[in-house]
Amino acid sequence: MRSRSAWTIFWRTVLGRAYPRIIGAQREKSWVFFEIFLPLLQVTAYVYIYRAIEAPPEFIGFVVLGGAMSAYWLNVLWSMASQLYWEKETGNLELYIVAPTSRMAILLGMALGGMFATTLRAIAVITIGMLLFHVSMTVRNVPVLLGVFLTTLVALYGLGMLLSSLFLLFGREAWHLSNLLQEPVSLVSGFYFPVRALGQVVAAAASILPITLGLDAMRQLLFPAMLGDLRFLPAEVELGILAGLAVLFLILARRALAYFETLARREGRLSIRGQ
Amino acid sequence: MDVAADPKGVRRHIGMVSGGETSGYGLLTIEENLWMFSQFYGMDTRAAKARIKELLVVVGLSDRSRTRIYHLSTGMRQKMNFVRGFLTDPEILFLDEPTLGLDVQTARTLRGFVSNWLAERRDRTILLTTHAMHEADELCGRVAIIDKGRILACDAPAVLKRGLQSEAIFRLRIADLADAHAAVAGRADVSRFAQTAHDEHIEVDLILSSDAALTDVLSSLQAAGGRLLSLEKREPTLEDVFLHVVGHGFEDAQREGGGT
Repeated sequence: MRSRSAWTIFWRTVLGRAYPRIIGAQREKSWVFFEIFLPLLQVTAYVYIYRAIEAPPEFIGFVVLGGAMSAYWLNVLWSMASQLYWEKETGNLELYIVAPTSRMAILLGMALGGMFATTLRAIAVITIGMLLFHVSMTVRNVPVLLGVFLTTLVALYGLGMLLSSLFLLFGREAWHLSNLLQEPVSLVSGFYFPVRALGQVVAAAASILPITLGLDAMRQLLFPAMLGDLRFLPAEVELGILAGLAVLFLILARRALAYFETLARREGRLSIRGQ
Repeated sequence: MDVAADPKGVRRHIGMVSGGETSGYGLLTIEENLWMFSQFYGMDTRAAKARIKELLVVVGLSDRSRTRIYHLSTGMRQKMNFVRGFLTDPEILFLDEPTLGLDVQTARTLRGFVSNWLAERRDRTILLTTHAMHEADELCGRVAIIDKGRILACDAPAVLKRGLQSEAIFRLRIADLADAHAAVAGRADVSRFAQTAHDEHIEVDLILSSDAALTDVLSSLQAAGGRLLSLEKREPTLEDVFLHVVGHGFEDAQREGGGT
């Protein structure tokens, strides 16, 4: 045991904790219905609204992209933010704490496993959406698009890691925040319309959520003709802010976990009384 | 090693198994769950799989290695938890009520497993927390009796029991009496008293200052309306030691939050 470096333990932990999420996607097929068919229904509703009001065809693309990205938000909310709380309930958290590994590695494993499984869902939603509604996209700048997409995911899952620690600290009541956050975030982040439509102040406030800026930037890079007028900020600026958010959330998540561990050691228990 | 100053360092040397654990992920098989936990200790995959295979044979789960854990019974799940605890061959293993809720056969298998592990590795330590005194007697080299957070006695089980050999220990079964407390407790010749209610009788454990005191105690019980069903003079057990040092019955202590 002593000869294994902290680095080896860290990466093996990441792989080990990612594994249930990766394999779970193969074994629990109900996600095909709940996470592809149901989001597509919502996308379809918006598509017909835009068609009814004769909105420019790019709006259909906005909706399909928003529908695909919403899978990541739901995954962060239900499988990251709430996860440590559930791990405590099932008894896994105690074993994570006893093991000589980093709690950040556990969270990173959850995040990477969740990203993998969710990417399958997002690809399915975007592919089916494009085929069904004849969406055409023009990739303006592949490296920046990839950069925006990956940085959005890092920032988003960083936020998930932070929420996970906070939900654990504040217990069951905080977990109900997942219910509370789900719909408002899909509104203020502009999943189904350009966020600028909400006004600069709301869009700026909603930018604390990485999915807001990520979606806006990706729309600019995929539908350049439209976002000249509708974009919130230039894509390069949004990429910079996303990178800042990613670093900020990861640092805060690490601090929240360290605080939780200190509190647990001081109190001599993993859960706060009454939770 | 300083536990407070180097908590990460300490974790490399310890393991834990709790009774009634529901850890792991239901969609994964036994083998996959165990492999996952081995990764949190940085074990090489090939070494981990070989060790898992070996330990599953020991606990009699080798034919279930590819069963998803949501299909397992409580006993099978606890066997898997044991394998998880011993997988990394920890120097110190914490067992917290490890046989809680298990059937007799499974509990016996797991106790045998622990005994063998300790016999083969003299440099290893197990810290067992249990309310099952016979389990502590069977597995432990030293037993600490804790009541309300204080250690009241700590020694080898044989030494603790030997301390009671000068006293007279009896177990009575009495019908037609709901509570023997008033008739027995407070008498100068009764060192310790505990009772357990059953459907049609009560069971009274007594530690008396001498055999001669028994006649007077029985008279008091009969005067209170009790009818003696059976009387057994016993060698001291760890439960008697508990009764002696704590001052009240084991079940009472559990109700009040004490432990051993």
